[in-house]
Amino acid sequence: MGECNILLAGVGGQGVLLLSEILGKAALESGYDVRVAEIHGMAQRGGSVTCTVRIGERVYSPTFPEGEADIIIALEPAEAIRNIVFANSETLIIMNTATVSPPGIYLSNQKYPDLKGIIEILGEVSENILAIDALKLAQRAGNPATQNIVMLGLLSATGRFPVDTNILRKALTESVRAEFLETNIKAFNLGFESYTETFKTFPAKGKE
Amino acid sequence: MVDLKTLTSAESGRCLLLGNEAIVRGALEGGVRIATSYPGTPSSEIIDTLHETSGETGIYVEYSVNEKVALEVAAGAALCGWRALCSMKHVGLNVASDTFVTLAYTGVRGGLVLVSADDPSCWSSQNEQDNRYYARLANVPMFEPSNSQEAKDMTVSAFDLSELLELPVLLRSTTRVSHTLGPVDLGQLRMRSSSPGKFVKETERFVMVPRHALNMHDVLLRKMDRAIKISEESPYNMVIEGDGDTGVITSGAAYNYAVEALNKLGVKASILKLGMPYPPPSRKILRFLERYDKVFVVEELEPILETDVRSAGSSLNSRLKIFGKLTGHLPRSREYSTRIVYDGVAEALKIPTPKIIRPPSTDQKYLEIANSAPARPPVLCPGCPHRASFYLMKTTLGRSIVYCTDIGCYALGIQPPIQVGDILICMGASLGVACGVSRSQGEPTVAIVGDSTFFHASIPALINAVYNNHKIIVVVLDNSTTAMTGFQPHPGVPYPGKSQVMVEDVAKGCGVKYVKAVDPFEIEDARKTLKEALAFDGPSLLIMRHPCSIMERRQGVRRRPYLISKDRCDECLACLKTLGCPALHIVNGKVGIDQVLCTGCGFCAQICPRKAIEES
Repeated sequence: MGECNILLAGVGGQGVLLLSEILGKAALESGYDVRVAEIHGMAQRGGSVTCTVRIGERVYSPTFPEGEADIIIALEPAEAIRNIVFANSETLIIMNTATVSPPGIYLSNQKYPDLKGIIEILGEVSENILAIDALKLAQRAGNPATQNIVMLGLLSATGRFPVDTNILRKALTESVRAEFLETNIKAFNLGFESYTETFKTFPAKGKE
Repeated sequence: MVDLKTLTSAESGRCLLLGNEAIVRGALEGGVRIATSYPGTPSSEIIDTLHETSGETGIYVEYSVNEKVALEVAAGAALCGWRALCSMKHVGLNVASDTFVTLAYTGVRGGLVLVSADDPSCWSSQNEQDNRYYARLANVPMFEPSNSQEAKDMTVSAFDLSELLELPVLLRSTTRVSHTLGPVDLGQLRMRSSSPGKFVKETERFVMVPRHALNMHDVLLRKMDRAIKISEESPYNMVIEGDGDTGVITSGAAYNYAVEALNKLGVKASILKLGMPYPPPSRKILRFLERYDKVFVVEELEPILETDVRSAGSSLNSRLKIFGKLTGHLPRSREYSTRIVYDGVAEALKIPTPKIIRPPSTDQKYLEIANSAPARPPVLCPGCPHRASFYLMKTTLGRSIVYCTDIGCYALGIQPPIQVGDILICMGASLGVACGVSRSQGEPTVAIVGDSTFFHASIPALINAVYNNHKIIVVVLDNSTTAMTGFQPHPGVPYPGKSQVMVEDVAKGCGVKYVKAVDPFEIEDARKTLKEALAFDGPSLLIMRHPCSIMERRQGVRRRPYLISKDRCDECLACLKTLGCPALHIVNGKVGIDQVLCTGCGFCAQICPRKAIEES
């Protein structure tokens, strides 16, 4: 039973915490020891949010050192860049291409980096990049708030998260309110099905 | 968040719980009858979860007005024989400390567990004080869990120990324990009792006049002698055997980093893990020290264990080397990580080949790239009434007046472009500090305070301002909830079964002669009132009252979002530059309003010089 370190990054309100809890629950159901580190507090106010999920036969620390992410799931491109130091050459980076501009950016001298540049920089560290417009698929699923679940579906399709797809689906079902279940399942499926197409655009090397 | 049915279910099983949820489960398994708290990150989920499940569990759960009162309510019930849980963030115990220290003298009858959730790295706090000192200051036993399972188990044990010794017991958590999900094997729930408590009078024990207090101090010392024996034998103070000539002594979250750092270094050291670090099991520590030439102490923040270990080891031969903060191998501030412990141990033990992954991504170049990502500081939400209040204060009272601010969402007022807030210390300090600033400068001074914070710790300072004639303008930013910690109710908010207390009534009762309430979205009225409050001879209090926009949304309030008229807008960007509302953005070089984020508060429309913003 191997270890798997996952870093989830996004912006407050994108559902990073929910996604990390689903991964944690599914991993526990699969017999892993689990730690999920959440930082609450300012998350609701549009700030950057990161969560770490660690699974293995026995894990202790809820966080892990830079360079030791097996998987990075970025719900927002600039957040992928902010967490680039957690990646190594084998890291699978799954990135949502839909951007969220920081509200204060118009008042500062900062500029939102361009998407192509972001993918190039990430590519210098790891070639295992899957970039997907999760917003588009979430809208197709009928709820733009399901971008996080689109990413979950895509993660499941890669096979890099060592938990069976059906167990992930079960954890998803248990974690969302009944009224939102249908759109969430749709989002999961759209994410899952997008893998083949995304894979062609961003050839991921490694363990597949 | 865990399914609440699982948390309160009598069935055993294994589930994933936050450290805070595990403490709740531990309280249920420990037969808690009353829980009190003032919310504060990272402790809030404890009281929130107990509150949410109180209908089912039958436990009396109270959001008290502040931590001191919360502890007193819990103590009163425990003196009548109920098991009581009182939870707070670390700085809350400063507020409750007066009660806490003398409560150790009187002791309790029912078990009383005080949870202190510390916040190394100040994730959401004004300091990173180490509350393990409070166990020493009050001289009460302390448990320190490293994960959710221990958080649950130790809560149960803390109740039992508290009742055995008739002493309050401290359960000290940190952010990484409170806010980490981990597996927990659930235990048996205690049979629910519904019997009322019964206070049995015992004046010499419970009335802390000097003569009684001196006796009770001796009683406390005797209780703690018993606690030392318990600590020596406690299964929570355990040795995890390794081999080699190195030992590690650790507690709390630091234990996790120590285990992983040692694994990465390939050091098979024995670990003495102290789950009940106070009173320290000195004999156990001594026996451990005797076995090793080198001992590393790993603990976050202050060198408390390290001092204990050095003291225990002072009678040993000089071959023993103790490493830690006092030797400069580990830092005394910020939360730890596997890497920090790894680096410290590697340096101390002179291990030449670090096996930790150091990939290209940790090169300086990538650190710089990571830092170049556009900053995303937390800001006031779209539609936040505080934004309107700050704008009005700035444009009416001016920029040069000193704004003493306080703890709550409105601390975000320091972010550009609003930038209101010059001094912030702790809960309720804005009023007292403003009194001193006003007296020293000889100028009117503003004290900004939230509604929940007003009730928490501002009232004595308000009376002080009246009594000593300080010219302060108290602006109560009343969003009708405790927003920052998760929308808990407070005395100023109507709530089923509670009696509402109005800020204006309190202020008038405290003798403030100028008390008014305005809605900050009524610009002209609010401006006029601010001017009056400034000009008033004596302390004045102005309530700027409008519900929190997030809370309104949660309650289903929906207003039409606003739009920018392309014809009238001349791109002066006054809206963006003065308000910085997250719903305002620039698309293709033109200012626009995000139709999903906009709450329809309409404040930007009111301040637009071209009247170019209108309801959609």
